[in-house]
This record gives sequence, structure tokens and C-alpha cells, in this order.
Amino acid sequence: MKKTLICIFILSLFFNASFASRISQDLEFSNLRIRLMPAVVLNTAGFMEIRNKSSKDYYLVKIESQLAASNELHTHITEDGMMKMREVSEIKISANSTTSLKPGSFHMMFMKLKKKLVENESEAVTLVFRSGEKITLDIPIKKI
Amino acid sequence: MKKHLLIGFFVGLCVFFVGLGIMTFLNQSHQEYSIGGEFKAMSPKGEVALSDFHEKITMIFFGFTYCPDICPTTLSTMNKAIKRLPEEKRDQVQVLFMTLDPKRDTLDKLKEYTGFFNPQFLGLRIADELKLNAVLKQYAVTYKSFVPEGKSAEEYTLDHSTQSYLIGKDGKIREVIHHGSSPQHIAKLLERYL
Repeated sequence: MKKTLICIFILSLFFNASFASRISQDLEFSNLRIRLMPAVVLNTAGFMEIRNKSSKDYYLVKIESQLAASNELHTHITEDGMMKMREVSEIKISANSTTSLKPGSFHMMFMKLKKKLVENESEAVTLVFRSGEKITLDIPIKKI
Repeated sequence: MKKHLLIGFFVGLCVFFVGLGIMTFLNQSHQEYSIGGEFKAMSPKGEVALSDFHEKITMIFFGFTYCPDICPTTLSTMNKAIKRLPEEKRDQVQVLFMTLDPKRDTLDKLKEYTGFFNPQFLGLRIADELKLNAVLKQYAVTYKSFVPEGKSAEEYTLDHSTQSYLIGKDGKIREVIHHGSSPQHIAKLLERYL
């Protein structure tokens, strides 16, 4: 029994590693930044460009971090002459193209910040994809 | 025949340049807006009126400090636009940020928030809802409170219009600056009125 559990554990490690390596082969992350905000504001946004070099679509469904109590994926829609920020359940990273998480569009939202934002320090953010694949990125905090 | 063609071509060229001249003139001439006007609000420096800034070009934006994307992008872009101006002209521009969320945005909070982008930027607050709404109507600003699913009533956010206004020394709106305008574009507009 013990041996079986150890085997499962090792196998799961192996699968996780292969997932991560596949993502790092298929997806290229650039222009990563978390917006530095004044200390009185307890939320911020994060942006990046994701280049999908593969012929397979990826779907970003969740982000995780120690930066905030609530980590969400958001977009902006324009309706009735107003900009409305709304949570989205996923962001499609289409095959053979670049998807931008940028101001006024799709972005990562960090709400109820648990830490003080310090310019040029980095925060580990884990991106979770629909397939269960994950990748953790160090994202610098920048004045945008 | 050849002569006629040449004359026709010449006349066409003249019409084209006259047209171009008229269009350039129209583009440069000041536009008139029926919105805007005088108002009074509290600021971290005490009560101010729009007319207090009559010696400057004013840019005004309506937002809230909890806004994590649109408002900081707008204020940061305005700061970058001002930095593009010659140093001696920079203090001739006053940026005003009026909160749509006086319930959460205290004057202290506004001071720290606007100061983060540029120490010269001034936060404005009208606590009385009726008075605030009157000014917002005056400036064609719309907003609506929204509580995201699964969040408490205190965690509301605001949907809001995103335009800013460039106000001339006469207190009249001269330009509507749309969200997403580049610092270069805003700097060019400012130069036009400085």
C-alpha cells in the first residue's frame, strides 16, 4: 500500500513536471508587470503578453498568488457609454497567436492586497489552465 | 487638348489645396461644447472652484481611487503627457481628479492617491450626492454602482464613463480626451492651448 502511494506521488510529480515543461515550450510570456498603486489602494492589476507557439488553444482559468486575498481574471466592456470591469471565467490563448492582458482589456486582478506593493520587487503568480496545467511566473511590480 | 488637360490638372490641384487649407483651419479652430461650467468642490487644500484655475489649462477626470485600471491609467497618461511639455510650461497645467465615490474616498485618501501620480494633481470631493450629481450631469459623466457576484455590498465597484476634459483658461471645455489617448496626443492638445 505504502509503495503504491509513493509510486502515485512520484508519478504525479512526473506529470506535473511534464505539464509545466509543455507549457513553457508552447507559451512564451513577456512584458510581465503588476501595477504599482498608492498604498491607500488595496487592489491592483497585472498584465502580460502570452505568445502561444503551439497549434493548440490554451484557456487561462485561474490565477493564484500570495499578494492578494482575492485573485481574479477580469475584462472591460463598454456599455451605455461606461466602462464596466467584469470577472471572466477564462481567457482564451489562441493557437499560433499572441494574447495581451493589458490595461482596458483582459487583465489579472489582485483584490484585498495582503502585502505592500514595492516598486521593482517581484511577486510569484501561478497561472492555472483549463487542462489543469500550471506555471508560476515572477512578475515585477512596476509604475505603469 | 494637352493645354486643357494641363489647366484642368492645375485647377484640380488648386481646389485640393484650398480644401486642405479649410480642413486644417477647421481642425485648429476651437471647438465649442455645451457641457461643463463652474463648480465648487472640496480638495485637500480646502474648497476650490473651477474658476480658481483660470490662469491655467485644466484637465479634469472623474473616477474613484478603488478603480484598479481605468483611473490609474488615465492619471498616469496625463502625467506622462505633462512630462512631454517644456519644463517651464508644466506648471501651467492643472489636473483635477473628482471622485465619484465620496463615501470611500476621503480627502486624505485623495491626496495620497493623486500625489502618487503627480504632486501637483488635485483630488476633488463633493460629499453631497445631489450636488455631486448636478456637477456630473453638467459634465455628461455617468456612473453606476455594481456589486460583483459573491461580494459584499461594501465591495461595490463603479461602472463609469471614461472621458476627460481639457478646459481652457476661460473655463470652457475645449477638448474631450478619450480613454486610451496617448501621452503624445494629450501633450499636443495641451500645447495648442498653452
